[in-house]
Amino acid sequence: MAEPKKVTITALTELRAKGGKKIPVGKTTEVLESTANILVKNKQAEIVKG
Amino acid sequence: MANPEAVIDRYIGGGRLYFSNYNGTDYDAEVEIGEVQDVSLKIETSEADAFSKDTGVKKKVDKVVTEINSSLSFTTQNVNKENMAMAMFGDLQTETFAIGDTLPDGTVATEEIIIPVVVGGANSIIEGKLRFVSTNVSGDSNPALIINHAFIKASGDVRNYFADSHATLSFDGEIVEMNGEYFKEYFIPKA
Repeated sequence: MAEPKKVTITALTELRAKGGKKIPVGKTTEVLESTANILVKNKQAEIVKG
Repeated sequence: MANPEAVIDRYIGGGRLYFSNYNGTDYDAEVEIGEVQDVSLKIETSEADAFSKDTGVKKKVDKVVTEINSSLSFTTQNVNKENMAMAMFGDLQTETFAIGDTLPDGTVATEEIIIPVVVGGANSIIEGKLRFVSTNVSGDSNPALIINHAFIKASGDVRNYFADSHATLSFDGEIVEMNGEYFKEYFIPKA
């Protein structure tokens, strides 16, 4: 089975990543594409263009 | 020189305190309060005196006990969820936050997260059994205190959110008489 696709996002609001780590505004982190879609829709993050 | 066969009744020690919450119908499983700094037991009476002035001079002729009160106080530096719930008259619950939800600290969840929460004031009365097992480093026995039932409440401030030293929680307990007794202290022989 294929691994779920991950994408890199930039935080537009402070995020709480896996393991409790904080991602400050403007910093990037890697999340599942489905997670990124929710955060982008909520204007909480934007996907980093490759 | 000390008699090697003499019983040593001195006490210097500490110990572990356990609490079993009464849920209204039964006692929950016992949990350790943890890192207890102080446990004090008190029992006191109120009396009524009877006087006679048959000879003109007021003389005490009798004394009767009208009230017996027993109480316990303890302090812990273990500010875990269970102890905080007890101090806050709270109910220990969990809340689930979905991806994109704003968490109570203002950050946004990037995965589903379940966070424990104490809902303060949800329980107006905390009551249950207490058991204190001491370790005596001086005498020949370890006292073990059994309290069948007590009403517990926090004494003093529940939380100082700007603590410069380890925070503590202090509690007072009013001990209830059950089956003719308030508490029992056993003298467990040391091995």
